[in-house]
Amino acid sequence: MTTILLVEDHEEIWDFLSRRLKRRGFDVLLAHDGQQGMDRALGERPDIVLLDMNLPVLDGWTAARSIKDGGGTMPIIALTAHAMSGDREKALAAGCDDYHPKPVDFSRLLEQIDALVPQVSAG
Amino acid sequence: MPGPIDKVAAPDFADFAALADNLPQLCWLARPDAYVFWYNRRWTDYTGYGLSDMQGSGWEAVVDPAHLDRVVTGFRRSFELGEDWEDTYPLRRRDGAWRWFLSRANPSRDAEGRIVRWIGTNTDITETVARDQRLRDEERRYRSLVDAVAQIVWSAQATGAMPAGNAAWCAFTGQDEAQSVGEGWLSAIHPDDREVTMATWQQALARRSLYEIEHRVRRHDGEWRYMQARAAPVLDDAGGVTEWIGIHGDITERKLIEHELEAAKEAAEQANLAKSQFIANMSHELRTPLSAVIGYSEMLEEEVEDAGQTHLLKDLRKINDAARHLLSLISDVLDLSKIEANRMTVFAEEFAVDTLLQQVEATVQSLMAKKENRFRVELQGELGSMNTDQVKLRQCLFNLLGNAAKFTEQGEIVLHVRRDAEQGGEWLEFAVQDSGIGMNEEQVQRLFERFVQADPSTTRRFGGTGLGLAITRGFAVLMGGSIDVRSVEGSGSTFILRIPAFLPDADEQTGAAADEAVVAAHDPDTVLIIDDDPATRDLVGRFLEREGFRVRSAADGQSGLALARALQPRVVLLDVMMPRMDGWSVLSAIRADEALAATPVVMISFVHEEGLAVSLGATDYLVKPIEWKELAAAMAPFRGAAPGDVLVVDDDEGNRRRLAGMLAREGLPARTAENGAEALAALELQTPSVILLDLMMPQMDGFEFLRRLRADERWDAVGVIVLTAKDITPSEQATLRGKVDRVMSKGSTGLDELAQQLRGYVRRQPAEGDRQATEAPDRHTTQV
Repeated sequence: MTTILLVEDHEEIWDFLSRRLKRRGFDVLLAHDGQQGMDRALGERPDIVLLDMNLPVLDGWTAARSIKDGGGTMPIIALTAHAMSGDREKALAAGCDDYHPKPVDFSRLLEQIDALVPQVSAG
Repeated sequence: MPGPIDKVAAPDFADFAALADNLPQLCWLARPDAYVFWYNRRWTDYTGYGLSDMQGSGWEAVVDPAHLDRVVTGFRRSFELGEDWEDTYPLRRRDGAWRWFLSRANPSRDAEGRIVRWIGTNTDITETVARDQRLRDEERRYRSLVDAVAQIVWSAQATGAMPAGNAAWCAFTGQDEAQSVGEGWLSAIHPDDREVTMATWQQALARRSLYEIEHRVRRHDGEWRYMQARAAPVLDDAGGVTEWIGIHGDITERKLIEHELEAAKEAAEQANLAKSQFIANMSHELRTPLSAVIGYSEMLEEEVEDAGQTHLLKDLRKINDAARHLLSLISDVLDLSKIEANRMTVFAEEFAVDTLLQQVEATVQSLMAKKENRFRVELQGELGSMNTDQVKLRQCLFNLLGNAAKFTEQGEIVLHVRRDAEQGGEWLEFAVQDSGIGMNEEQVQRLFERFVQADPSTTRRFGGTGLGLAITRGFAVLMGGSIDVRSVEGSGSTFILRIPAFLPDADEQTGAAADEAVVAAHDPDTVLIIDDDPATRDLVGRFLEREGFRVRSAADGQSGLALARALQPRVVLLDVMMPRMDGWSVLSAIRADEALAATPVVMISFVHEEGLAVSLGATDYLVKPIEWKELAAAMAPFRGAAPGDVLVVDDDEGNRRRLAGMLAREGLPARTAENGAEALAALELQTPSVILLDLMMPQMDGFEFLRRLRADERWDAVGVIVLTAKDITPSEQATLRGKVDRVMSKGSTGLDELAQQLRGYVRRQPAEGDRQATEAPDRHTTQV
């Protein structure tokens, strides 16, 4: 089963998103700030990380870089606040593998997860 | 040729009469009893009367009656006492005109001292009298003018000293004459303004040019008044300065208004920045709960479907649609507020135009279907690729197509796209043509204004914020393009979006930033601002400059880091959220760089992350929106006496420019002076670190300047490098010894070597006694 680490500080977001992902058969781990996200990513080695960029303690870009620098090899999808020009590049530069602008387009997000973790068919 | 005097007969009366006839004056002879018995020809020519009319006291007839009594009384009295007579009065000319004459009579005596006759003359002094009168008139007019103007009028001697008699100045300032004369007037100038006033005055005196300054003057009641002073030299026929005439005007009211305006402008700028920051934050805050609404409604749709409650699906979709609509409106407001606050950035990327169009076409299909519009895309020729902001271009096209779909029912909408060959293929033109309601001239004019739709009723009929076109135009302009519209009311509109295929300046901008980093010389007193937001860079930069800091800035982390390495700045102000390389990464890089590790870094962020900042090595942490007081407090430790600048003293303009250019490239602040006198004035303004001195100059040469410079202990620490084209004689060398640090030959000194010398000075001011230890200048060993 594919394990997803969802790093998101807003309860109203992580709650529905984790429930929808679980409905599709994913295992979902949660973290609510960048530091915790980095710790769980490196400690529990999920298959993929969904990483919000505007996080307390440690922001998403720093967390992504720390995960990669700390030896984390799993793909990371950045969740960015707005479809801003340059958001994608910024996320990729920080070590993310893909990015997804909010609000979440769920089917598109599933496609992105699938593309990065192809060996396990979810859902 | 006249013969020897003894061979000529003694002159007789006929000779004297002929002589008298040729004098320019009127002449006459009188008996001791005042009876006039002879007049010269000029008397007759002037008055029109001969001896027959004028003998005895006949002359009284041509004396101005207003003066007659006095004249006759004085005349008789002189004759009675045997004393010389003199009086001034008008005599009537034959044509009736009156002219002024100076009249005189002297008694002629025999060997026994008895008066035998009187000899009289009348000299025409009309011109002199008129000139005196004119002068008196002019003086009176000048006095009236001085009294009438609101300004204080004053005079100064050619030397610059104030003479006695400047009553208006004394009345205004309350100084008495003794206090104001010489340079005493300076004590009525505000202490903070005295230096610059004196320097400006000295400069005007030296150049004989207009003196102009604004400074504060203490009024007699003790209040400081802002005054504008102007003075000009009064030149004599030879071009020498005889005196200076100046005025002082009270501009306090104007100054106060200027200060108020400046404060108001600053407040408005701050308020505007705070507003845009607020909107950006607010929009961001609104988006999170909306994301949740959308997410939960979608999740419920799935669960309701699974549970077989399909009758609820329709309502859930309405929630979802409404939330998405609200989200797009918020995005519009955010976009526009960013455009207005100049915070919208463009990000260029390479993409194929037809791929973009396929995505757009697929996305708008459902929109077109809503009002049963037919939609097609017409491509003209090869479109190739673009390098510009794809996200913004796509949004522009969505906006234009969305508008067309909104205002057209059961019609046709066509998107024509072509690469503009006329412009060398460097432009892409997107024309959105609809067969909708169209607009009249006035509506077209107001179309791109914010919040304005073609017709107020439009909002009710068609909805929308009216921001779409304003955003589209803002984006188009950001991408270096434009938008135009052609419309006929009732028969549709065509919106034409023209965008450069390659985002202008994108390459140049990064290139320029890199160049700047390379050419920037060490400047350990600058503040380096690293922030991607131009508005913040500008505002913070201006604030710090007002606070007396020298400011450099960089627009992203990479160029900021490069600039920091080049400048070795006093302190770095670092934004956290930046594209490509964020503030945390820059901070880590700074701390990892040996040369920069000790450089203070003040982080600036929207969010409170002080703990993280301190643990990563930040010196201080400020939260946006920036409070100026906090910024000033954070910057206070980094103030300090900046090292002085370089003063270039050379009479040759080309040399001055060349040296100033070199100094600018070295990042060394420089001032210039044309001669020794100007240089002395410049010294009063600010003490330089080092003076580059030419020796041969008009007015005051380098030797005299050095003598005066070294006579004043205030300039003891100022280094002097003599840069001369002249061969220096042994006696000149002796004069220079101990006064200068180096003598360099103009012809053989390279700018690079000179720059190196100067860097040493601006870095390290020579300690006292240093110069004495320096070897005597020797042109042979110091020529480079």
